[in-house]
Amino acid sequence: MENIVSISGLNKWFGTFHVLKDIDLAVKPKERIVIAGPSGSGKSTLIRCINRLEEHQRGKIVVDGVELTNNLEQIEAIRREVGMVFQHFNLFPHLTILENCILAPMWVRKMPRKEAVDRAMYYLERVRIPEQAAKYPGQLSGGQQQRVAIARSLCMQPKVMLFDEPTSALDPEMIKEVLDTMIELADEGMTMLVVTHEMGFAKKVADRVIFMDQGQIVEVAPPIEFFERPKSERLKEFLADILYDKQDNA
Amino acid sequence: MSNETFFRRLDEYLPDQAPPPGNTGPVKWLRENLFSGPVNSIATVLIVAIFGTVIWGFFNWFFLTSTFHGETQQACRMATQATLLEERMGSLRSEQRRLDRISGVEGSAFDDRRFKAFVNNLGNLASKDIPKSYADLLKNADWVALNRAEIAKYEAAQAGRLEAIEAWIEAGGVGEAPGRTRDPKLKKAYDGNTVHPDAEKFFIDGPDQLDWQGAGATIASALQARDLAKAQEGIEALRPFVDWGKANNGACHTVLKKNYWQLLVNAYDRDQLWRPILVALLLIPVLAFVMVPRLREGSVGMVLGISTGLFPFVAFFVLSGMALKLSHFEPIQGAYPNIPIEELTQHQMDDALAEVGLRLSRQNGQWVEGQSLEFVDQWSVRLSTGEVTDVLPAGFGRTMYGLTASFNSVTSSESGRLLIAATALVFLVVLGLLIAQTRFGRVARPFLRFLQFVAGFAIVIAIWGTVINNPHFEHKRGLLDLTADPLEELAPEELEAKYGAHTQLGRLPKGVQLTALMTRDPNAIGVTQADQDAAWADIVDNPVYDMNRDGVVNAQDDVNGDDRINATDLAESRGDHAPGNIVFLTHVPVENTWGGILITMILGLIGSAFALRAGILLALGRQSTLPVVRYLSTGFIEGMRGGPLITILIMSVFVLPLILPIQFQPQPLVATLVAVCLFGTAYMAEVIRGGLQAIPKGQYEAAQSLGLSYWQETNLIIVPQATRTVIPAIVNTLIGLFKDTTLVIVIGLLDVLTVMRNKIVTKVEWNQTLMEGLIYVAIFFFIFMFGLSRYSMWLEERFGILKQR
Repeated sequence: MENIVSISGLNKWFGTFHVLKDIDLAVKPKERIVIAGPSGSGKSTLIRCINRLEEHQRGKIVVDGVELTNNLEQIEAIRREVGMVFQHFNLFPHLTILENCILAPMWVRKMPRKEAVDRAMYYLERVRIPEQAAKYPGQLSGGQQQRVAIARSLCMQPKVMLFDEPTSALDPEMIKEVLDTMIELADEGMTMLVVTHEMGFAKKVADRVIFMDQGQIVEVAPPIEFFERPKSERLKEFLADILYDKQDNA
Repeated sequence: MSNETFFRRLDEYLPDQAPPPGNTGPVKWLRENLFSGPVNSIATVLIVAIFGTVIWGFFNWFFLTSTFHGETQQACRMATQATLLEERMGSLRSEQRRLDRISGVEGSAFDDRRFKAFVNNLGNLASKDIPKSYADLLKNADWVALNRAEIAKYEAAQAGRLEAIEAWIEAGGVGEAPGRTRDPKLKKAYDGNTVHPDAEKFFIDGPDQLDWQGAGATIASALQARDLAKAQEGIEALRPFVDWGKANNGACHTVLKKNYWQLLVNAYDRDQLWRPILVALLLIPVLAFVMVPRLREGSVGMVLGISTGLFPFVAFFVLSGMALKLSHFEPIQGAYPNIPIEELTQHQMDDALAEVGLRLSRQNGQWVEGQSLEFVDQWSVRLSTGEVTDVLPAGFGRTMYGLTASFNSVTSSESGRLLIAATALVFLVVLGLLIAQTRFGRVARPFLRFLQFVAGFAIVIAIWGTVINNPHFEHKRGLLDLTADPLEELAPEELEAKYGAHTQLGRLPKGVQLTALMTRDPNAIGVTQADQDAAWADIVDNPVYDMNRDGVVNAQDDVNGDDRINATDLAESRGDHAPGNIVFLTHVPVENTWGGILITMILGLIGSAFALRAGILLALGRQSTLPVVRYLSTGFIEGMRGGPLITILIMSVFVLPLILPIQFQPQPLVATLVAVCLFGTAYMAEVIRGGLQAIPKGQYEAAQSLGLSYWQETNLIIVPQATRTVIPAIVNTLIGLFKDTTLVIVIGLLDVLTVMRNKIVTKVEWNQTLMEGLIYVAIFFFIFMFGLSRYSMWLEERFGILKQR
């Protein structure tokens, strides 16, 4: 099957700082990939490159058969097909939950309002908060907001979903509700790239886990291999660090 | 510590209990807010005391002791002087005591200056200004709208009452005293025009035969003789008057009552008053749209939205009737098609160019611009041949000349005008449909709305020019002219009943005379044709008829340039064919003609509306990644903010005309408006930029990741949030801009403050009321500004949800 995202020889600099070094990655449709690594390793930057929130300087990114270049039309075409969920939700605070969800379908997909509302309500039910549709983001808890953010992305019916540490800003009580939503989504066959520290989620859902360090992909393996038999020293250290107090969660 | 307290198991939750007394309601509020500690308590008491004193003083002066019902300046002045009488007397007495104490001699000579002032006061008091009775007061007052006959009847009734009372007293005062007249019509007329009840009591019921002159003379001679006791006796003789005056020595609330119309629009020609009235009516849908959210939806919302967008332009055009003027030579040729230009008289040239605001004078047989001497050479215009087109510069000017010429040929015919109106209406409707309904409209709405804002101007010109000022629809103007004198509709016998059998024009009441002069059918209002002709002949020989009603008969009143000011001039000056009026609606020059609150509102509202929209664009421009846009925006903002508004106003009105080519001379009001708009824009841009900076990066990223384009992102996500964050600052800027419009006095526009200061309180009869006038202007501004800030608080509350990010 053809790759939906293929990255080859990706290099990125912030000024003179070399953030991503020669990244090669191919993602097949319906594949779930979890990207892990210490902070500053370039995980977020990598997935932000995929929908051009960050510009890359060298290499090639092809999403759904369209190459990311400086061409604005191509960028917008890719962004239409790639949904993204942020660490801090980034809902639009001046719009209600429903308006947040119908905005992009109406303006980007040019969908009639009624259809957009129907679709938004469908996805809000999927994330189990249809009763909040008329409220504003500020009135919701963090977990609810993140689920709205997921629904908002889904309303565009993207082919790929990017998650940039979706649970890092949440209270422990709320992490589960978001993860459950993501697991449901994964079970339905959505292509997902997830940057997260939730190793339990990785074990349960991921097809492949990628370990990044210092801007490079150090190790790629299925979760069982990844957690049980890490090959590189750096990954062993990393797992030892993060699993110290998380063993119970897994 | 026992084990029981260390280990504890909760078996039952406690129920909620009521808070202790004094912890709720007003007691709590007082305790927490006003008396929370010793310092706060002292501060509270102090503030209440200071505030109370000041407020009470003002309240007393403004409301309680004011000559509230003193309909004339005379009543006010009398009250003031009566108080002075007592006060001066008191101070003279204490001065006398002081001198006596120092010298040890009783009745020593005192300060001459004070003495003179006192005697002067008495002189004023006894002067002919002071009416001797209420009836006298009525007779002297120019405000008396009562029919003289009705006053006479009323006075007769009053006299009858006095007689009846006297008879009643003589008869031993048995039974009920004869009451006041109960004629409701008279009572109403009387109540509407009464002076203060005390004054009425004094003037009518009191000693009508009070000896003013005598008392004045007594006091004066007593003072000459240094006999304070005798002077006091003289004052006691005037006691009822003095008491009345002391009780009514406050603000003269007569200014606004008598001058509200002038305050509103200054001195609009009476025939033009339909303009502000129409604008006020048009404001209703605008306010509905702004205030009622429900009305912003659906087709109603569309219509109201369009009216709101168009309103500033409609209002501006209706009020000033600014004509489309693209070429100076067009009006010359249009006004005098058969006279070669070099043979025109100066009158004719002025007349033709009056609309354009340009003045050409003849030098060495050529017409040159004469307004600014230094620039004569630069802008001298050669008109050596009779062919107007020869002097038009090639390019844009010539093209525009051709356009206006062909436009004129269309608009000169009835069907042509109707065609334009119909086209404009259709265009308007289609534009509205596009904007509101279609997908294209949805995408492009923000830009179309701005375009619509601008396009409205042209559309309005066409519609107004076509319908309102078309001779074909002349009768409709009567409908709008709410202040029109309905004399022409009255039958002769009705007229006679109302005004008496006046057949001589000169004896008609002032308001009637104008109508009589203007009417096409003088016989219908009981004036013979001969009378009318005679009246006109009188005016022509002795040109007192003042076309502009500005009190000055000047060359401009001689509209058609035959050196006589007559009916033709009047007809032409207000008619649809006034020279230079290419687009129909007669131009009303704003300088010295109209203004007041109207000008303040126009400048303030249009300036605010423009500044808000353009400020957003400019703020975005300043943040742009394109260097050219960024530097231009920054340069504009810094340049505009760099100078005070007053210099920018002066530049725009006096300097800009020197720089601009001759085809684009702005009218003063337009130049002012543009200056205010741009000035406000620069400030607003910085405020909005502050809002833009407060928006987290995540909002941009979220919008981008959803695939929104730059403009969608800006319009839907960024600008709404940016403006809502800085609502207080926006309102702050708008309030400042609104009040800054009072500076237009420097370029000769009369805003509300200037009308009050230069027009109303400088009149002889109102010249002591500057304080009241200023207070009224202050109240006007306060009401508006306070309303605006309440509105902004309401907005903040409504968008307060934003804060819970």
